Amino acid sequence: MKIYQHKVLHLQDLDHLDLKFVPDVFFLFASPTFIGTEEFVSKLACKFEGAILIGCSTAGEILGNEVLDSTIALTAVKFEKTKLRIEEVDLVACNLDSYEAGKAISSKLMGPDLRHIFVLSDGLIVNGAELVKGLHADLDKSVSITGGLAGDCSNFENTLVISGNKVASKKIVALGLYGPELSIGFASKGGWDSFGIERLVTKSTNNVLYELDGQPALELYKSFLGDMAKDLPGSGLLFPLSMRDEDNQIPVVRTILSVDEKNGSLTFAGNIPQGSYVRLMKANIDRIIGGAEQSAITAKNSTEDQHQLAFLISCVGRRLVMKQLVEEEVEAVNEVFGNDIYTTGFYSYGEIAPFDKFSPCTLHNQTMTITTFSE
Amino acid sequence: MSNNYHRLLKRQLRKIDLDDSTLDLIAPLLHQVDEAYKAYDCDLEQVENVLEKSSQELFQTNQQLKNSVESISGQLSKVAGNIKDVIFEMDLNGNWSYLNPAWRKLTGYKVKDCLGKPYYQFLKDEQGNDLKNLIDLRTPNFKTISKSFKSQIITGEHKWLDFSLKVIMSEDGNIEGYIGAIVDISKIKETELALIEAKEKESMANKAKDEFLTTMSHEIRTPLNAVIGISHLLLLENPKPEQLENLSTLKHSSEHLLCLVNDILDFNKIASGQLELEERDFSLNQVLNGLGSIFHNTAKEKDIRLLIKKDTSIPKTFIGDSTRLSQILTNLVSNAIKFTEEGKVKVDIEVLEVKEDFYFLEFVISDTGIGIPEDKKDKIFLSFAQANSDTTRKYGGTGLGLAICKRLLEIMDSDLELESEVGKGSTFSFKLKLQKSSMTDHQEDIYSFDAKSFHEQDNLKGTRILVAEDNKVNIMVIEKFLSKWQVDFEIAENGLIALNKALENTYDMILMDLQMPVMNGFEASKAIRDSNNPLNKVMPIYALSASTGMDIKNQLGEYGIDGLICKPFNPTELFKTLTSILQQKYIQ
Repeated sequence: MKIYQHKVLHLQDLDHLDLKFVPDVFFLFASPTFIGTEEFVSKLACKFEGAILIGCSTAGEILGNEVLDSTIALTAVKFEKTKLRIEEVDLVACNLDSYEAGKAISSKLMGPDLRHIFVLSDGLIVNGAELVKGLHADLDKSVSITGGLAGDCSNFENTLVISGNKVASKKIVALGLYGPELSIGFASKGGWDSFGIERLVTKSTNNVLYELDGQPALELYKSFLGDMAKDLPGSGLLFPLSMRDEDNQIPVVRTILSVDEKNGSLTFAGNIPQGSYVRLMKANIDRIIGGAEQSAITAKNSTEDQHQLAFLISCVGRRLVMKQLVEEEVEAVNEVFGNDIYTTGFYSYGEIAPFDKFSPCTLHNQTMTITTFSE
Repeated sequence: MSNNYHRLLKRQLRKIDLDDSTLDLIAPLLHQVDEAYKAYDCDLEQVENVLEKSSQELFQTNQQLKNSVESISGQLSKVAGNIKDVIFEMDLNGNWSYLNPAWRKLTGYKVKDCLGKPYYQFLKDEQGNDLKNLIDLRTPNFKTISKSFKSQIITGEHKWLDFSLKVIMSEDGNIEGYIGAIVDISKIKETELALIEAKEKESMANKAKDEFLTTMSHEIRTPLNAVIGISHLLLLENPKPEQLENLSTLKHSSEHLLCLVNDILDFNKIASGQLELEERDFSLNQVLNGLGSIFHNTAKEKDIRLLIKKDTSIPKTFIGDSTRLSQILTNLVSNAIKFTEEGKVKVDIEVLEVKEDFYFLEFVISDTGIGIPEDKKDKIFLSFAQANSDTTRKYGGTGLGLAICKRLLEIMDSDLELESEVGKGSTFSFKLKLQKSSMTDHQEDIYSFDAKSFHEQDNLKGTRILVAEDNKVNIMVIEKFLSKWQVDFEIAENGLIALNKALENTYDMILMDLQMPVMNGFEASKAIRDSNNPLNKVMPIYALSASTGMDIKNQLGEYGIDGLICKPFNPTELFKTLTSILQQKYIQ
């Protein structure tokens, strides 16, 4: 596997790419504040005809040990044996049915030697949990899925997906990796703590939560946010919920995407089924960094091969908590993997991966989700 | 220096007192520090808010929990307080840890005086001693205990208590304590004791009744013997035609009375479980021949055909109780003839199964009589019951016959079955398992040697018979018959006289009453057998007795008595028996 990485600060950097090989794929994690993303993508596609371009907008780009803003984190890869295929689905064309969109993608990618699906999705109008269910629905259990939902700093206005020579919102793009030579590692860990009493979800529809213990959910939520309630939904990233239900015996973390003052509801990045139990969560910077490290250890141990390329998809909420210390978690991960690995990734609105190699893939929030490839 | 810096940063900068150029140089750093300070403040404020909210919530939740605990324990104590029985909890050492108010009512002790103290200080046995052994606390290898005992309470009164206890286990399987209940069962116990007493009284009364019936029946038989005997004699003495009818009625009535008394005796014996079955070789042919001869005349008088059939494969001898089998067959055939006006009565014996050591036979007694209505089929097997109340008037009988048959068959592990159609007839049947006999056919022939064949050629003329009998009336009756049969007889009024006579003279046979003054029949017989005269060893000695019990029959052998002739006797039967006994003697 050959890997080349570049921190793209300006559109002109396109001319300074020092590639020594013909890449199969470009992974591009682009800040919404980078000027000229579309132009960069289309030119790059022109320049490397035959290479796959896949990526999305971010709430922060990860490249090596750095967490960046206003850049495009570019990683070009040439696999030795692994075959690749890119597929995209328009959410609008699927009537915003995330489950159907997921199903459509996996059926397009399905093949006898399909090993892994790396998926990047619009981060706002998608229901991540449904997307994962859809991806899984018809897929062989041996095929692993990881990925994340695109971010837009922490504005929650418009997220983008890069697929081929195009940059667009309301789309899902996925890369299928084929061949027995590929070795995949993955893990997802948060490091958040639940606190207070466990509350029963008494009214909800999919990912919209109306009532907890018979009380309006938004009101309760705001009372815990205090002064920060005025910064919703952005400040909601600091206050995820841990949720357990029949599908998720290990509690999963759910982050707020938006609030509706009129009917007092909260919309989450994943489903909050009626009858499930939720607890509020709080962050401790040391434990969050510890969570990222733990995630790296799990991912590293999930395969014996030397890891070559790692994708770090971390939640925007973690970034908001860690602020100036955000790079600590990236460094913690890299320390686990050592010097021989290339890392990239982004701060996202949702992470897709199994907890470890023994669990089914689900949607996470507030985690550091790691996917590693090697051949 | 920016005035908007965080308070702490401003204070720090003032203390360090840097010049403006340095401040300008480090402005970006200061800005970051300021931002971090403010952010931490903000986070802290947030955390404090969360803490406050959470505390409030936890406080409220705790309050709710307390309230619900209070309301539940209130409900529980209300329930426990109003239960009549004692509910308790006990620690591992057997000390009361909870007692409901019923405790005071039951024992008289105040609950608060008992809590924390061992149970045996308050639960006493009948004598007022501590009930330390009630629970084995040292090796508690029980899950539950349930005991009833009589206990002395504080006032010295006694109460019957039902004490039950259950182990409370912790989640890790250790015993945490005990929970249980104490119920005052004094009333139930009193009732139980009263019932037992009443039951005992009742069974004693029943026993007395049975004994009375047995004694009475026995007592009746002796005079009845005379009545029957004399009526026979009178009939034989060429009565005048106008006397004949009266004498016949007398004879039938006395026979009927005897039948009744016998039935009552039998029935009582069966009901009281005193009936024992004989296990002896017997000839089925003889039983059937006897049956034929008994009913031959009766059937002929009514112009009914009596057919007795059996499989040719049935052996002639079996082991069993021939007396009882005869009794059952006689009863059933007698009924069949009684209730049949025309047609036939048939006795059919079939082999159902042959095993190595027993035969399975079916006895079927069918008639073409009046039949039994469906709704009366169960009733006729009850004692003293007949199909219709006018049956007794019309046909006579005691209503005991079928009940006796049924009971006898039950003792023989069989059952009496009935099929019947009104106007067409009835069929009674039963199955019997009869053990094979080892007796050869030759022996059987001797055994069943029919006295009838002698009747024509031989008689008892000149036979020497000693009759030991103390009852004057009986003596008169037997004298009359024996004279009539030209028997050379002598009478001994008691056992001793009989013994002396036997020692002095030689007899062909001795008929020995069992109950006699001075020396009873058993002793006399034994003494005769033990005497020096060798003839006395082989001479037939037959008991004449109104007792028919198995115990008597079993005793006979021990005293050297050859057999039993039941009193009262039918003269014809007696004649046959005597000739048959003598015939056998000659053969031997």
